Amino acid sequence: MSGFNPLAKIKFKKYKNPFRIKLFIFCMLAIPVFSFLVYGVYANLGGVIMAFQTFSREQEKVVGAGFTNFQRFFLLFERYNYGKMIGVSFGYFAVVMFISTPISIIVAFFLYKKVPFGRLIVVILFLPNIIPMSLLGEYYRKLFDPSNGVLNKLFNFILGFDASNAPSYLSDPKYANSMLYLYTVWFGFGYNAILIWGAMSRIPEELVESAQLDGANMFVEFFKITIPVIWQTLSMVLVVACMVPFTIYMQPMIIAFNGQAETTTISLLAIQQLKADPYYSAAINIIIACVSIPSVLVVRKLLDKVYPTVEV
Amino acid sequence: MKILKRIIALIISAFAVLGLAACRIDIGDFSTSESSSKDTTGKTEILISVYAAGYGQGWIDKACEIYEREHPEYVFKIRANSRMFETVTTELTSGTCNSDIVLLAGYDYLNIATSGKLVELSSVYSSNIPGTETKVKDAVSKEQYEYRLIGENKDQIYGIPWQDATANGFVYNKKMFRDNNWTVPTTMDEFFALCDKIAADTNVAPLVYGGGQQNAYQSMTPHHWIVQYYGYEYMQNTFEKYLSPEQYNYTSAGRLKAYETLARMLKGTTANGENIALNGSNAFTAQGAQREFIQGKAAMVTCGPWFPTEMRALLVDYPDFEFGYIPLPHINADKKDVNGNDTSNVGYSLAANLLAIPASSKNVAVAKDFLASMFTSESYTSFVNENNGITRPINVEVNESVLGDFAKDVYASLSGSKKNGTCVYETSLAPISVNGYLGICNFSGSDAILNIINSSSYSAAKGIAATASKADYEIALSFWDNKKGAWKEEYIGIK
Repeated sequence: MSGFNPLAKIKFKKYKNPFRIKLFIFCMLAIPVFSFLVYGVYANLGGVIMAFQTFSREQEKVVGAGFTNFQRFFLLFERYNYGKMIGVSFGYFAVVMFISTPISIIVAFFLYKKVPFGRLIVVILFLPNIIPMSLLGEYYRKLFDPSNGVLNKLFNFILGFDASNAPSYLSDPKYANSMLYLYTVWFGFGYNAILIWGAMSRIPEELVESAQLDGANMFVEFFKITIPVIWQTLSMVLVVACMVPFTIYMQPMIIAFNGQAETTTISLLAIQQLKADPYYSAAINIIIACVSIPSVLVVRKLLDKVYPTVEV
Repeated sequence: MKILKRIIALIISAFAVLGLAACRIDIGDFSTSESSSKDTTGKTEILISVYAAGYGQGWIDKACEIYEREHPEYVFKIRANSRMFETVTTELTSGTCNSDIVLLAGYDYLNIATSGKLVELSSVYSSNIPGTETKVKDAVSKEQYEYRLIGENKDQIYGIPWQDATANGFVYNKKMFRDNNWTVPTTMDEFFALCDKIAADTNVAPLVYGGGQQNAYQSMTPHHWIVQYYGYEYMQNTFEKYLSPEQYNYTSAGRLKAYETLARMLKGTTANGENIALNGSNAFTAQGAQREFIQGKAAMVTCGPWFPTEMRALLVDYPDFEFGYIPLPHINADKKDVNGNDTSNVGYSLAANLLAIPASSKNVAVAKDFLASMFTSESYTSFVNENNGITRPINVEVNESVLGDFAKDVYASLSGSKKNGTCVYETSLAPISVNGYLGICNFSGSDAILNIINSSSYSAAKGIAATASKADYEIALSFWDNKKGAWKEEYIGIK
């Protein structure tokens, strides 16, 4: 075992008051450990226990329910179209993974290559992340206002509708999810772009210049230098994208008025059930966790094998 | 490459800058208010936490004002916003609630009340309404009271019902109606005839609705019509027992008429072939539709009594705009139910949210006294007036002479069923209903409305209406165990 032990080199005896040093270390560790115990262990354990309980209206108290809540999920699966909700959730995954992330990488690359007003663009790109989602959602809805919404007019023009037969893009099940996916790309790519741009800006200039002297064009530079060097960051972005289908709920909750028009995702379903039956909601979350945790771990392992870690 | 870079920079900037515009919009009903500007010297402070959105918080401000006038030793501090239901529940369950009175969401009542977080309120119910010989219990709707009784002997109660939640009607342009000699419709036949007249007389659309949000506020419209079609007695005392799916089959004719009428209202055409609804109604948000109405593009808007409060800011720009309220017109031309009884005074409401006293309150006696004081005629009149005419599930005399015109219209439509005791409340204690699987219109009701709103034509909407009527019965059948002649165990849940 040659693991790094931060306490190994501390010689307590050389300090006048080793107790105070130990107390300091204890206090510094106490906060994160306490936080982990409360928010990590207690809260999650409480959630797991809740999944096996229910509120008995006859007995007017919480009673053990065994696997009833889990059975209920499968009992109601077809009736309330949970399959569609799962499909919608994975739609977000597809959008983030195959549209939003590539856009982020390309935008980051051009920022890294110093486009005009690059710094300003970085600031603007980051803005959606500091403006509350409720505001952005309201703004996005206004873009679809039938009277003066820009996007409403644009889509009517593209799809050949006029005011008399135009659909409701945000509340017609045929279009609503696509419009939420559009929002996800539009307001979502900036954050990852900045993250990736940050990683790119750490690439040593000599490395790039040397490649250029050897005749490497921009595509070669991008695939042979940039991507391998930023792979650590990029793989983290991709892992987060893999978690999207299990965690996404803000878009349908805020823009689509709590999942109207078949926009409910599986994690929004868990939130919706929280009001009606928190015990059932806990069971849904356990089911989600049982699928998401192993999936994300497998993806992480696979991504680690794509490129070796590059130290720059 | 330089040009490419510039183009890319331009595209990224254009997309991102559009996002900046988000900073300009208002944030709707996410407002928080705390009234704390009063002189509290030497007075006992009573903290009240209530939900406030479309109706505002005038009702609680006035109730406190009246109580403070009679009891100057107390001063009320009010916390009100549209997220308060969640805040109150979190505070109660985590033991951090420092309010003396809270407004509790009905769906949280049982969990909270049975966990010892609230004060038992039988003593309030058995007390007299201040200044009268009437007991509070006698003023509260029997259905709402019994729905909230808990305990082994069903003799404990922890909340006082707050406000009715009824089907919405229409807000109409009074000046436009007056100038064109149009009359307010009282039945749906009259409503459609009026739409024909509006289309013939003017260039404005008869109706606008916010189909892009929450089913255009029409979720409870079919419920109300079905109640009118079958009457109070059957719906409250027989249907709400949920004894078998056959009750949906029995009510299929009224159900079909309700859905078809809704389809015609939202997607139908007038006699001269124009749409009843303004173009874009399928996509407007509620406030967007109300804006179009105020701007004079439609003669009526589907809306509830919260209209004047919710649109206060925009109405400032239209000082001459006059509006009135049309209660949901009767589904039958003769205003009678299927048995020939007059149902013009039959109302419909959901189970109410509740005013309650947290067990942690340090001023329980005052809080109880305050809750009882909200039953006095003066306090209730101010409640009705501040809420633009909306009622509580109680029967208390209102001084109609002090109500504003709009509030008077709304109150007139609701008070009949209160006085006659003919308001159908969705307060069934049958487990299949309590567990949320069945209701007057089942879950297909809301899907049906959404599908009607988004249908491509009136004939498509009529097809959806016919399917929805059958679906209500079919859904009920799917919960039924034919062999046992009872609802399936798995939907009844753990007893």
